[in-house]
Amino acid sequence: MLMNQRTEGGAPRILQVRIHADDFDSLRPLLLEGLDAGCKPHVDRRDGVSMQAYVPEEEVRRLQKRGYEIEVLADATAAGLERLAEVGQGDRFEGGRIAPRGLGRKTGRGHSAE
Amino acid sequence: MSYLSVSEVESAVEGLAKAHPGLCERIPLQHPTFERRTCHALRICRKSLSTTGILFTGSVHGCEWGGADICVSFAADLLEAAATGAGLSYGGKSFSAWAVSSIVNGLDVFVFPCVNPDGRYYSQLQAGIWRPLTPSAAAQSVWRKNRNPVSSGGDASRIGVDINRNYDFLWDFATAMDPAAPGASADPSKMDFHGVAAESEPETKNVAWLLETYPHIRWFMDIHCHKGDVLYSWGDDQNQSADPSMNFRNARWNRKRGLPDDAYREFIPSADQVMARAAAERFSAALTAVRGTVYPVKPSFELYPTSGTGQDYGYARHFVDPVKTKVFAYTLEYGLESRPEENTFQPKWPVMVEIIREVSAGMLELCLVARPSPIFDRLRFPIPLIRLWRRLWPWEIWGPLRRPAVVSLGIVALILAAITRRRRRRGC
Repeated sequence: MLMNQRTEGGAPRILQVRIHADDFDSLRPLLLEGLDAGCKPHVDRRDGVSMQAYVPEEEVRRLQKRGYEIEVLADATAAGLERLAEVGQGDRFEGGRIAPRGLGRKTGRGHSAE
Repeated sequence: MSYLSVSEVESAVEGLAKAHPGLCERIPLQHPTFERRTCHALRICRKSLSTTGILFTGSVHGCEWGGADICVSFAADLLEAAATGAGLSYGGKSFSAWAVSSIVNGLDVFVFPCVNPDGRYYSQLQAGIWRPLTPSAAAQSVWRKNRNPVSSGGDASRIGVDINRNYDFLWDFATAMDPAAPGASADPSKMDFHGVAAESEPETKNVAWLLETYPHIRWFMDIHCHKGDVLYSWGDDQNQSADPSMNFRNARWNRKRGLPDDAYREFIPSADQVMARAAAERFSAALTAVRGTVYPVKPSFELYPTSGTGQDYGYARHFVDPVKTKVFAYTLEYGLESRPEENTFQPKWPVMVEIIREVSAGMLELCLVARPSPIFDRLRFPIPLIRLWRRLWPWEIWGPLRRPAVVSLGIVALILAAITRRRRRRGC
């Protein structure tokens, strides 16, 4: 069903990629152009420099033509659509009548150490 | 369980407030969002006399769903454990009943789970409603901004402002930052669009309102993803503690901020840097104890700057206006980049569950760091004097005399406290 949505729409997907370059000065122009580098640009300095980004798939080809090495990590659109199945439907807490419970294990007095 | 929808976040906050009326209150935020949603925060404390508050904010970015879920689970755990006299355990990290109790007795814990509900709603694609995938819908799952259309000119792809570039800290990057490193964008089509003015967005105003309204908030953690870092100020440039005049307020350095390894570095008093780092390391160590995950602690600047972020705004306020409280502010980037299953805005729910557990342990540990010691709490009398002292003679001017100054101040505080106690005993 999710895959059908993707193909029926025919829209460009957003890909999560890692862009590799020789040095940070090569990546800087991309950030100035407004490349979506996520919440905060993170530059990895192992083996040259690299940076994760979210780009439409046609942008990947443009970046490759400009000489950047692009490693596709994931299809962010597909992943997001899949995760939709894991978003709450309805209201589990019935408008506040039920309190949520946390994921921590409650322990009795004297059972734990700070 | 699964990821909370926008309405479930609100129901969860209301449910917790109703279930624990003696331990928390539900605070309505003053500024409704563009889509007319009124957000709520929780204030968790057994008595409202605490001298110290800590604020956790989640889901500032719409697509970072886990932030709200972390906040709700953390608040639910803390409240249930405090109400039943229990301790809490997350994998290999445990907190005793005494530790939990000391948090709710000595600290005001503010939890604002979903700062940007409009962005979250949009990112969750109005869950359950099928529609064809248009180009804008393809981008929905990675949508970070709010849904304010004021700068869009009717173009759906230009809607929204990045809340975490809209705070009043070097917001005017064209003036403040080096043109090669602005740290935000003035283009509404970009995901880091900073808006039309500093603090123009209701979501930004809501966080600022909490910090203004509760001036005893001294700690602030803004929960984001994904990298696996605990970040402290500054984000606009590298840190330095040698030259107090080289700072974000000094116009002489305009258009020179943001580039690494050049003349400009942002001033942070060394004592603050030590404190900020030490507390973050406690957070990180507690998180590691859960299942071995390591989140490095570092300053926010990393080759490329950010401007207008909540973390830097939170910490910068007391420099701009010395009357305001110093807030040690952090950005948490949960989700480890080296684990492919976590290196995404929306990990699969079972993966998110593990992240929630480890981050909750870190949050509880940070509460323990922030909690005033019972002795300090009793010595509330000298606090205004200490504040006055610090305003008259800022920390950085003392140089080698810092230690004797602190020691003498401590002695004065102890004498004053002893006098106060004696007067109380005598019934004066």
